[in-house]
Amino acid sequence: MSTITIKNVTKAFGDKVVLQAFDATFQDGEFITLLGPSGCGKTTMLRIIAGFERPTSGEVYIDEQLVSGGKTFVPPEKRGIGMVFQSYAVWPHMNVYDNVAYPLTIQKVGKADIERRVARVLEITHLSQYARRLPSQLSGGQQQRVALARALVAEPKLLLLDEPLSNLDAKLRESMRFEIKEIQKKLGITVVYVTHDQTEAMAMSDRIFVINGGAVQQSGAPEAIYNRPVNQFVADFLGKVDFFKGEVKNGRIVFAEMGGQSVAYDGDMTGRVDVAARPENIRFDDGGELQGTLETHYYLGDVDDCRVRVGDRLVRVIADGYGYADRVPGQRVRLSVRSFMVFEDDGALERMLEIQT
Amino acid sequence: MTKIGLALGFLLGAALVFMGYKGLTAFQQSGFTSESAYTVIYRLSDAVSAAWEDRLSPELDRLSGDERDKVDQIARELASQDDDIPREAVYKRLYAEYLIGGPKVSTAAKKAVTSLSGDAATDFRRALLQCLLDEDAPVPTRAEKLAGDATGAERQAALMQALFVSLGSTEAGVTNHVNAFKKTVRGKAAQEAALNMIAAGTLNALWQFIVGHSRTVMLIGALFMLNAALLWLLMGSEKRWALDVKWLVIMLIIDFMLVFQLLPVVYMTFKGLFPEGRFSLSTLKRLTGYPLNLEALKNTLIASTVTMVLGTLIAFPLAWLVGRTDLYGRKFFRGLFVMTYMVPPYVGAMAWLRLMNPNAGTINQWLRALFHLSDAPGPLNVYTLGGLIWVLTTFYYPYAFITISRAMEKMDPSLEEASRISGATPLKTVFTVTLPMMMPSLIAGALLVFVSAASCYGIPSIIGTPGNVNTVTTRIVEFVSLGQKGMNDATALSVFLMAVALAILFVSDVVLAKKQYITVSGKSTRPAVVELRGARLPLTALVSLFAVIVVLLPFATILTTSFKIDIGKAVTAPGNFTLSNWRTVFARAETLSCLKNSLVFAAVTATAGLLIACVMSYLLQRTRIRGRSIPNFLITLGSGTPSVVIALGLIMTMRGGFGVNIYGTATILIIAYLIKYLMMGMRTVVSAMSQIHVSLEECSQVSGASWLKTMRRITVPLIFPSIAAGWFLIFIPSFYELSMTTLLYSSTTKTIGFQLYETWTFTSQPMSCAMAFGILLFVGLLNLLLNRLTKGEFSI
Amino acid sequence: MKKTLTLLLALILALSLGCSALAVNEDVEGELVIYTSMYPFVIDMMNEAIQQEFPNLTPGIDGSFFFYAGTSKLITKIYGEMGDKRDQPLECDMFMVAEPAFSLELKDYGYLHDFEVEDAENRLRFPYDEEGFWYPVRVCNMVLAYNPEMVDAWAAKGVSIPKSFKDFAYDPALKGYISMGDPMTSGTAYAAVCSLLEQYGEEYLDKLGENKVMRESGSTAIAKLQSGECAAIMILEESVLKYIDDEAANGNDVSNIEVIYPEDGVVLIPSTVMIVAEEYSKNVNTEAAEAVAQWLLTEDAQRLIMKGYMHSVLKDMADYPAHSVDTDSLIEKDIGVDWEYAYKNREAINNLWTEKVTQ
Repeated sequence: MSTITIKNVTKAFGDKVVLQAFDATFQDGEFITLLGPSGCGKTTMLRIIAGFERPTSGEVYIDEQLVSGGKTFVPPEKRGIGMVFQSYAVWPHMNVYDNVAYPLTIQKVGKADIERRVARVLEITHLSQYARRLPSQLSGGQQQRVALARALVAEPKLLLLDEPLSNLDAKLRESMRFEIKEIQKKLGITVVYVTHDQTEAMAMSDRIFVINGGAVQQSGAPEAIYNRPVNQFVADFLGKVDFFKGEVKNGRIVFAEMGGQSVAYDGDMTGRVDVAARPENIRFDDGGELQGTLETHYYLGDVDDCRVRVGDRLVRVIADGYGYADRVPGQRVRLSVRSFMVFEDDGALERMLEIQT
Repeated sequence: MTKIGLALGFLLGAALVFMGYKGLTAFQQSGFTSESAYTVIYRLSDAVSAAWEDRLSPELDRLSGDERDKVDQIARELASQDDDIPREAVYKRLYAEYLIGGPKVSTAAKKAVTSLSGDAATDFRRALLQCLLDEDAPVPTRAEKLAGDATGAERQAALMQALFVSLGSTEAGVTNHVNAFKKTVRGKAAQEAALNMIAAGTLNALWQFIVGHSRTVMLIGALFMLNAALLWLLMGSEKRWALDVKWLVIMLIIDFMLVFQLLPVVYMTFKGLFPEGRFSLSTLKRLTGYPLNLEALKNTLIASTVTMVLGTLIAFPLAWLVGRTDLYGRKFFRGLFVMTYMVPPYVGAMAWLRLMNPNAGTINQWLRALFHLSDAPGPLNVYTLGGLIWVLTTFYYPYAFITISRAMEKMDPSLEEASRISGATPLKTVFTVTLPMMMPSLIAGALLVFVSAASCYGIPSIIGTPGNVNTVTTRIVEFVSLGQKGMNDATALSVFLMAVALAILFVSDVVLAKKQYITVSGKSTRPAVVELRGARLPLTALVSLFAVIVVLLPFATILTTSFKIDIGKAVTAPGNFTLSNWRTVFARAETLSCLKNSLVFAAVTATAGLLIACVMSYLLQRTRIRGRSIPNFLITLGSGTPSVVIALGLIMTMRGGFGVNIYGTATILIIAYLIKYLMMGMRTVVSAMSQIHVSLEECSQVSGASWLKTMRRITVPLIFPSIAAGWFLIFIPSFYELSMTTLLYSSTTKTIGFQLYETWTFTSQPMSCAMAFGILLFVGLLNLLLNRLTKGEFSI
Repeated sequence: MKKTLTLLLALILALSLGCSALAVNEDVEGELVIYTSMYPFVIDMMNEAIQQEFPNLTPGIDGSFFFYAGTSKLITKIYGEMGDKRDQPLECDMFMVAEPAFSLELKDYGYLHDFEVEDAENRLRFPYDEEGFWYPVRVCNMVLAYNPEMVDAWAAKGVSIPKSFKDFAYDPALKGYISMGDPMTSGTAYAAVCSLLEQYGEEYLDKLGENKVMRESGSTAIAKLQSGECAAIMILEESVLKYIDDEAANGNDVSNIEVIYPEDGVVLIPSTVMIVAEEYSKNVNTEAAEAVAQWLLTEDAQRLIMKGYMHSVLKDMADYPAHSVDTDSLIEKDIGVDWEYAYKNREAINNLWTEKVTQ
């Protein structure tokens, strides 16, 4: 249960800068997620907190104590942190019990105490009946839980998780997400979680730090980031999004690519803009401002994933699955956008799209 | 479909064996000295027939009936043949007799006759025939030397001989055949039989081939049968009956191993256990009766075990420090520590002799000066069991070091990190996580050290013998020198060594089987560096001290000796420094050709060895066939056999006795090196492959890649560091190997190791030191070059 | 029929013998392989000489008549080729290796071919096989050696350089400072041991054991003399002579290794030439082999042998190897070896040695 303060941490390997000026404070009991694509520097940041990497500059404090920075460096084994690795790193030559008990045996805790605490944590992670098994006899999900149990048994101040669920199948991932969150809430432990999966991030976090190219793009609660992304990257990375190129003219934004159609706009931006709208915020509305033709739609049970041709663009619209039967490809439809985000057209969108393709 | 093919193959093999056997029996009853006699007879028969048909018979036909009969009669008498032998056979026989056992005719006389050709030759022959028919006819001039003064029967014999000489039997090919005849058909009875065969001309091409190569035919037949049976078993156990490249490769390698690796060694073992053809432990009993032998056994066991333990104890921390921490000068140390085994054992032993002999050893002198001890011999005495163990350890620990280093590099670092974050210091992590995870490669390395130390001869003979510390290997060589009876004793003793090697292998496999750890998981990871912080400087100092004592001191001794004129004086003494040794070494043309030979042989050995190791390792770890660990045992058997016994085994089995004759060629040297050193590569590859998860390979197969492709593009690259290490582990000792080379070499296959030893024994030790150091530099440069070329992938 | 042809042969031979000896040597043809343990540089000289003497004779192994290996290695190789039943053909036609004990052994196995050397009785000053199976062709000489530059240093330690074989073993001051070849692996060392056994009895071996004699090869022993590790060594004279010669070639006229001709005698060890029996030889060229064997006992060939620092076997040879002493004077001092005894009792003598010296 502790506070992490990161002051202006940068990390470079030789000439290559992988982390730029990371500055943040994680409060006691918060669930923080570092979210971003591969190679963005999130794992590096995690390893700096853990003590496996040293920052090139900047400082890291755990509970007011300087652990990395300047001439000071506290080695990983002295930081009182629990960590779950992507590859689980469960030791194959020890059984589940010994794996989980390991941190306690290092601390030379008494045997009776060890038994008690291990039993408790095995119960929390639903592994009680596997205590004597060897890791090679366990499934991936079970091994992951062993790693989790091991990380928790010493009641650490801080729990770090490095993409722990990426090796599991979809259903298991969902249930593990839930379990981890439950455990965190119950124990009130501070968690720093690294992932590239935005659904995970959204579901579990108190705060998300979206990182790209070593720089934090935005940090905040999931709702804030989702609905008020500060740039095109964040808008695109979380959730689904439609991007449009438009120009502000007389209180409206005109979309040349959609045949000159426009929507009402009362914001401050002027000139050329990138407009982002979430497909679920675009509705089929007989009174809508945009007009187009329904080309295809995909029935996903709970939603109807549609593609509407408006001008030169194919716009993605997520509609209610209930009305699927009423929509017929080729229909002329009208759309209204109940909420959208506007960004300066500074080429960022093009740069981002380039990287993606 | 495949099953039918296999059955056919089996039958074909059986047929070959049968035919070969018949041929062999025919040969054994023939009284000829060698099977190739049949080929020779066949060729001579051809030549004789050709001469008869083209040149003699037409001439005879030209004569009138009576004349012809008269000549025939003369011929028959000369050949002492009965009337019922057809006349053609008589002449052919005479001709053959002359060719083979004919009287010596002086070169000049021969030339006079054979220089005729065409019409002149024909005229000459006709003149001779006339002489045969008419006693008074003048002998042609050229034939005078042959028959000038003779009369009567002698004259006729001489004329007949001249006739045959003129048939032009001096073509090079025929002369070779005649020489070969003399070598393969010895003894009167045999020659008689051979002559009859030539005369009769009934030997057909197929039969002569079969008899001439009866043993090879039997061998090939046996291999066919064996392959067919093995394939049946292998495919049956996998329940996949498709004939795939994989099987062909495996079969080829198994055949190779059976004939060239297994046969010599098993042959010698057999001789040890079955002297005089019956199973008897009498030799073993007798041997254990000698207290000296028991002492030698004890010494060998103690020395090898302690060397193994010490070597591993040294190698593991060093590998960890150099591979996983931020020790100063890691790269430098890494290169340095593998250097000790790049010089031949006796050179290293000599250096230690110079340093630690009790009377005048350099280190002893320093110690005496330092601690103000008396002038008495000591305090260190290298001529003891302890001294032997010390030198063995300094020489062989690199085997363990290399094996462990390579495996450590490929280990998943998060296993150690998980321990660190759980609160364990780096040191504790080493003991609780790193060590258990590295156990397979640790054991592999230890095994290498043990077997190498146990079967080493050079070091015990230089360090042990002067101090009367006897080992099994030195006893074996002593027995071998005793003569024929000693050979049996020697073989029996070496059986002991082989048994020990096998026992160790067995134990290690049992121990390892329980701990097969997959640690290379396919996620590319960067090995984490452990920061030593406070301990960094002291540990670097410690490692440096170790490097100085174990590596630099002996090498410095070798180097300084190479510059000396008088070994007894310091190199700095006035007038004692010279470059002449170095100059001579580089100036000798022979050195260059020896170097080339060594390079080629060692490289071929290492590459072939690695190939075999990969395939065998695959067999061992990726298939479920019963008995798949047998090749593994056999390879270890070979490595545990003392060199001199291997060489003897090869001499006895590879001269044609089993259908293969590679005596005196480069091939036999390579085979010898393979037998002795294959295990080095095998163990590193096996332990590396055991650490790879099979899913990595399965993934490739699912993507459609054939077995060969998977091996080549997935498996091999993954274990490449271990393959490279294994390559060098085979290359280096093959490069300067001595014991087997001296027994098996021929003038064109002299190696640098042999050259080195020659210089050592006959020229001077300083020159030999110059050569040894030169070899070291050369190998070091080679390593550097390979390192650069393959961007650090392929090097020691 | 054969008889007539043989008569013819005799006739022709008689005719050709009328010509010069060179004509005979031109008739020596075919291939020849000789196994030997002579120094490589001597082999080189011999190769040239033989080719000159017998121009039509073809070297049997890759341009050379000789195959070289150290004595014990060569013997091992020969045993290997004989096979465990001693019935396999060899890969050579002649031997120039080892001492008479080995020759006796090969003779017993039936592997040798007997031949006559002209006037052997009068020409040779060393024993040869009466039946003609082996003849001595070069002589090795077992002596002692020391380092004159270290005499004082040793004296300071109370060690005096031995003057005889007896002192070598019996002087307790020499304990731990002496070295010799290993009779188990070296034929010449074995011969020396047999000789000294005969001279002094088993006590000699006891004393050698007490003096902790070190067993090693000659070159190692010489190095130990130089470095001051050993005070005296038992070694073949030729090794020392070669060393002295090499030093002189390098400009060092005063050598730091010198021969001690022991007061109680030397051990002369003749090395023999043998011809392989026809049924076992490689090229079945007994005529050439005999011709070469005869040639080896001519003055020219013997001079080459002396260039190799070995002594000549010819009675009339006044010369001797460089830096050595007159051969006849050595013969007078020769303790001698009973070769039959050495051959027949090898195992017993080895056991004795093992018991008394190496344990």
